[in-house]
Amino acid sequence: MDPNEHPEELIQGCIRKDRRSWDVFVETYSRVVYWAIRDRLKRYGYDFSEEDVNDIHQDVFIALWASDRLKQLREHGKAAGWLAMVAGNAAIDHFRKVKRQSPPNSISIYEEIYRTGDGESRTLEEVLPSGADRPDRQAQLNEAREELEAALDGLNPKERMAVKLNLLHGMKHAEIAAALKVPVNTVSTTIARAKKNLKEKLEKKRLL
Amino acid sequence: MKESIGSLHEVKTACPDEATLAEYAGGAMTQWQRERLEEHASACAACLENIRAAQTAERMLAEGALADTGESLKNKAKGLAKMDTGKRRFRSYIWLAATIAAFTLSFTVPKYFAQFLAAAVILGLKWVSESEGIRTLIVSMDAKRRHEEEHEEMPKWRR
Repeated sequence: MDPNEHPEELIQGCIRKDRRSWDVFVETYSRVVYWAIRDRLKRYGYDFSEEDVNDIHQDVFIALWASDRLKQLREHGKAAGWLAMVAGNAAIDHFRKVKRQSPPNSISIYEEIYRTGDGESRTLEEVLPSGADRPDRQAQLNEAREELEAALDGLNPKERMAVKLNLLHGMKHAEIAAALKVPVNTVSTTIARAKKNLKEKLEKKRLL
Repeated sequence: MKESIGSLHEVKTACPDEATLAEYAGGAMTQWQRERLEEHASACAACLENIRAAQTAERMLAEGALADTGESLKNKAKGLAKMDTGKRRFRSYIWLAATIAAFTLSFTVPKYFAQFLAAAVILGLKWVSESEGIRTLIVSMDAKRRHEEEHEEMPKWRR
């Protein structure tokens, strides 16, 4: 059974507790769950071990099999995306409830992009180039964040999502366009406008 | 999924669940539903992070860019299907009952105290070995309970 051609059949098989379907499902999506757990924990700045990841991985599959969590999935063609969200949230829940640890750094997302963003996602580096070595960089980032929120005020929710997904979550224009179901040109124009606006505000505040 | 990491806007409404966000990504919602969700997500870093993770996972899986997890981890997950929890629990209870019976008999029939006690130990060990999936069972029940709690808290995004 090819999960890409027959996602509906595979999911329904798992819901019916068909063991062959379950084997194919695990074979196909185990890597998605594993990646999503590591990705989320890294982005939130948790210090985690391989054992943590393996435990969460198994807990996710237990929830899918024993608690019939798959019944929640309505868009069967988006199983990988759904699983990535379920696994990422399970990772955070695990650290909060089992290990009693809150996310270590409330601006870890910004830090991550600042350090390792690539291509179009390197936007905070673009807007804050001169501040990289400043001792009060944390305060500078917080202030930049406030200014970003102010710069976003004039946008509608979809535009705001596009800008934040790019500036704060490191997504590329094409990925944002696919997620929001809008043309790439529209995304690029919105982001360019928001960046210009933000840059002006930061310059006015002498943050640049 | 209640945190709002990285966002200065306080999110007033509860987050949509993962299935609703997957529907959004799949374009299966009505215009009105999409706009409502966007209104929330545009001020919620947790939802935006979910959207990013979903989009990235779909792309990476399609491109074959996700590394395999190894047989051990996959076999553990596949093994869940082999666990017929109902039957296992019933068998486990039988061994537990036999252990208690042998232990009680060791005191009520003093003549065979040592024999019954030895039997109780053996039956007890059998009970423990039958209950090897007990952690999994506890985790399953806990997952089920949490899922039910979350479901009760969930807002009605699909109306």
